[in-house]
Amino acid sequence: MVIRRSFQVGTGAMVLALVLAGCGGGDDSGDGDGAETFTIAVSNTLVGNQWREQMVCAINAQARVSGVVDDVVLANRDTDASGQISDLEGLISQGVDAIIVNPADRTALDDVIAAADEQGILVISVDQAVTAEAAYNVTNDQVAYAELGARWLFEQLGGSGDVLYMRGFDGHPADADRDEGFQQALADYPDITIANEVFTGWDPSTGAQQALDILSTTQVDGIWTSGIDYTVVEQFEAAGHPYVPIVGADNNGFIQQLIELEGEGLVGAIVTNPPPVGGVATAIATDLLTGAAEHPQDTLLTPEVFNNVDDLPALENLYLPELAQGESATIEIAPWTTYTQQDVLDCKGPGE
Amino acid sequence: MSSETSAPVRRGRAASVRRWVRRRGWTAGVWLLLLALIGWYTTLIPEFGEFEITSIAKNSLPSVYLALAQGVVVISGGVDLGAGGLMVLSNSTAAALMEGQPPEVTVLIALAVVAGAALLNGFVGWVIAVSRIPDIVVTLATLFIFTGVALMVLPSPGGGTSGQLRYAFTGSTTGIGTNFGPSLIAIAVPTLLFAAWLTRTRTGLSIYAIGSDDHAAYLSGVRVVRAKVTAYATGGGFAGLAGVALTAIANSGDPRFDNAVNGTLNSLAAVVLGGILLGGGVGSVVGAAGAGIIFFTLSPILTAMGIDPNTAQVVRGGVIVAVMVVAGLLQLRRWRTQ
Amino acid sequence: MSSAADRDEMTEASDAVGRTALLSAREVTKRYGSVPALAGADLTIRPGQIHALLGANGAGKSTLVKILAGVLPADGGTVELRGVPVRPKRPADAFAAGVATVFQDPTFAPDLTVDRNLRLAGIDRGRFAGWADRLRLGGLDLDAYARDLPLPALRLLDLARALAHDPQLLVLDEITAALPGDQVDLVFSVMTHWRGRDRSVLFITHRLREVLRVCDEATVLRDGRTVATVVPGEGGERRLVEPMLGEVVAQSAAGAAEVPAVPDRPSERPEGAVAALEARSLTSREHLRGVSLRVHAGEIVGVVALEGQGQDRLFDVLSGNRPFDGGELVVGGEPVRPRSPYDLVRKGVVLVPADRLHALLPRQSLHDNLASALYNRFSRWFSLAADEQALVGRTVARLAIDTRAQRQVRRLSGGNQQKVAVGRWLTAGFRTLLCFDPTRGIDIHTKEQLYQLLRELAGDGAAILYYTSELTEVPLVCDRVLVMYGGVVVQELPAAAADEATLLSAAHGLQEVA
Repeated sequence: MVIRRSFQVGTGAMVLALVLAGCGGGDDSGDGDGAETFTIAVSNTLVGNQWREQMVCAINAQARVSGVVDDVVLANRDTDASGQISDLEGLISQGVDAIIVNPADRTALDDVIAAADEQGILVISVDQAVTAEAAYNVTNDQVAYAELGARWLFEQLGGSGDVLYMRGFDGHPADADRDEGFQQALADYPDITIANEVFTGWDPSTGAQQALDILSTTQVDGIWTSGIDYTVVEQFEAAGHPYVPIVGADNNGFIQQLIELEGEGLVGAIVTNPPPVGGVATAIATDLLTGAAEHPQDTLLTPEVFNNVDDLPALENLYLPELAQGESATIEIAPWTTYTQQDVLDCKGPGE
Repeated sequence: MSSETSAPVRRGRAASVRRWVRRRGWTAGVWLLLLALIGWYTTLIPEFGEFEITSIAKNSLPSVYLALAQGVVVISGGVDLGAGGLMVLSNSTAAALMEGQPPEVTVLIALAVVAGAALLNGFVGWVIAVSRIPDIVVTLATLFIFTGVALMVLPSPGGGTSGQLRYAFTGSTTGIGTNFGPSLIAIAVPTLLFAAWLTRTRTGLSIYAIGSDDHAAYLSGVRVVRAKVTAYATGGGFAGLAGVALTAIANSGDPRFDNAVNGTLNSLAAVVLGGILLGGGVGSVVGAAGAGIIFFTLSPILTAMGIDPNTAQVVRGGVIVAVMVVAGLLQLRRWRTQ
Repeated sequence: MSSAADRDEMTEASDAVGRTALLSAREVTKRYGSVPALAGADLTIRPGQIHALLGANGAGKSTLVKILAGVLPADGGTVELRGVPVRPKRPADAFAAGVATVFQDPTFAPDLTVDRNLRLAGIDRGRFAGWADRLRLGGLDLDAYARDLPLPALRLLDLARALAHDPQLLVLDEITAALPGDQVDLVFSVMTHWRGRDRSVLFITHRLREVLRVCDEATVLRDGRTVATVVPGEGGERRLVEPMLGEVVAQSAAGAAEVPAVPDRPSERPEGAVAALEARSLTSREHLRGVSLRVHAGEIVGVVALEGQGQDRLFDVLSGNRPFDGGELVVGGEPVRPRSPYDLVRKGVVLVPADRLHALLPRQSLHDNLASALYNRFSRWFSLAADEQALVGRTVARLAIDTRAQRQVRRLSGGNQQKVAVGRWLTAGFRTLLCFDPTRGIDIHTKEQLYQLLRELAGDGAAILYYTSELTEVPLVCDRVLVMYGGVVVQELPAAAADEATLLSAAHGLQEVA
């Protein structure tokens, strides 16, 4: 597969610390064969979510192609911050070389990350930044994500109308960031009102039901979703409602709808929010562990907006027929990831 | 007519050992299983030391307290689906109120939260006893209510507590470290005191009695409503303590519904594995506490074994089923050989 | 216990007559929903008196006891204890007021040890130990779980615990029903002792002979009203029975006449006839040590034994509830090794167990209970017997079940529950019926109905094995009787020869194995 479209990336180049202390490489884990290899661990607290699954697959794929990772350990369960703390402690006890963590809380992990750092373990937070000083952060800019999509929507509505605001997981840091971006955009459009605000829990079927209920009872001129999009579009027919402009994420199913239903009046935009941040984090981790390259403490991936009014060819370019509806169509992120699309689809870690 | 006396009489030493095994065997077995699991865990990781002991001890505190909370209610013949909700509510309330407060105030808040949770759940028990609505219905409602109120108190994860309070539960003001003393004490003392209270006082025995046969207990002069309220109130107190412990471990509160549901389900699993009969009247909260730690310990073990995380839940369920099947077979064999 | 001693104590007690009443209940009323249970019951007990409370099933005895014990509130009327009005809200209040009750069912929490049960009730251990010794429970292991104790021991424990409350009035509801004879004597000695201390006993029993033996006075209830106060002894059992039964007496006498006391049927069977149920040297642990018996279609075979001689296990094994270790079980000429009662039910061997509520679905309706045995007839395609209604209706009519409280069988009286336990098999049909002490705690009228029913069933070709703890029933019901002792059948007698004395001596193992 050829890279269809490279992902435009802005790096928030704030280099607070050059290299992590004592982290030139995983000296404690040379298990022979001459070449030094490492163990990378993943801590995730939302199971059964397609975006997170794809994130884990990207980590697996990048670890596999890197050639220096001999094992990817998964600590993967539905839990809260205290559960994640205990998971991280377990990973510290296992003596892994690096931990890629999708944090359940922005601040609660600070002390355990500090403890990992003391043990010489590299910690990279993905999807969400954490406040721990020692941690690297590789994140999609969630504030920008919401703001870009919202601005497109409000422009599309001509600056006035009733908007359905479909948020993500109540209390999750990414949701809080997106809300910040959304409110920033909203402040510039005084004639836009929020018809309804709901939490989908990032669950496609929940979001679909909520959309159906609201579309059937409330006047809605536009919909902003936190990535629960293609199942919402499916509800228009059920509700007997004409299409209204809608903003979603780069989910394959949503892109397909924007292309195929364009003729029937569906107007919408995607905002990229690529799960392969996991792959990016892995690439950074292997660079830091082997000492191959240095990286800034914070790497911020800026999202992009594509709509089916002006950018239809771009969407067609993004669309990948072999992917499932809920999977993100953005797979490779230059210049970091070196795997192929097939590697991510296989979702196999080193040695599997 | 006359007959030989058919009642069991005092027995010899060997018989009393056999009886001890039969009566305390389950509880002892649970703790032996826990030791075996930890022993196994030490072989899976490069080093097992104070850090690991502290980690297991402090992180299993909420499971232990919630198992005690569920245990006493199940012993009384009920079931408290709201226990997880009460834990989340206490966690959120404690984290919201304690943030930025001096240590003495956080301790007072902790006591108030535990007392408040006890009162609240005592009221739930009273409603159940007086209205005769099944426990499962009322506490299903409280699960939703408590979690809903938690979201009002603390809309999204946050809050905090004092380092001193964290020390009391985790052995460190940062919540992480190698001092396992306080966490072990925080497990052992409440569990043993509670077990002694349940089996040695009239009030505690009345909780066992109403779970065993509430009509017989009533006819024996037990005040059934009062016993039920006491069971729910003490259970609520432990759910509140679980919430405070969570606050101390994470230095934050988390009001999400999933945590409440996980808490309730894990506590039920711990109670079952711990040897407390779901029908009531039989079992020890000491066993339930041990089972709570077992369920907690499975996570790092499964991760260390590299077991596919999606399989981990299956393993948990499998452990429950396997243990119950073995126990059932043993019981059947004993019954058949009588 | 000699009857001379009884007499002496009785004369003593009659001196007490005339003093103020210890307990006086006036015009007590109670209804359950629309069903009246008590419609104005009076009861006066003098100090130093053993007072019997009599009545047919459903007459309101249990309800009155529950009101005195604080289990149920009365709707109307007054209860005074030594002249002071009492209205206990719960059993604990009644204990405090000086009324301690031994209820029909054990009240020790089954999952607690004896010791913890005592602690639970706040019993003075020293006082309890005294009474326990007197009831020959001194050797009892206080650390045993109540659920592991046999029923008689539990009854005596309840009694010892009630006595340890040191009550003014001791209420004993059917305590002798579950006790073997020697323990009944112990209970009587305690009762007379209690009377000697100027305290009183209210004694509820179906065994009129016991009333004649120990009671000073008897109050008879019928349809929720006090209909007579009788001094036993004057006129014997008859005088007690008449007010209990009222107008049904005539009917009952007529019914009894239809059942010949000793049925006339051929006592010898043709050589080689196939037995409906046959046991060949059945063994089961230490409980059964080689039991052989044959039950043929059309006959009722009695089983008689003292407590704990293996009869429980025999019925468990014959009904498929437990496996046997050795020997053979033959049903209709075919050896079987049942893995569960279902295997035998399919072959037409059914059990009516001692504990009625065990056999029934207590919260289900009368109809559902009677139809429950039909569920084995579920066809593979899930259609229930279309004739269910008709079958159930016929059973209700045949058994003359009182259908007033038919929505939940647990609300039926004990006798009616027992009829339901038999009736559900009647609905489904069977070949061999195993009855384990079906008449325990049932009034005389219902008993006669049951005898008659069993005789009719046998007449229709059913084979019936009938264990009873009341030896006097044997000649009324059975064709022949087997006596068990120490896990084997020690003697077989024709019903005509089975008088109480013969049965008793055989049951004590006093005769050589035939």
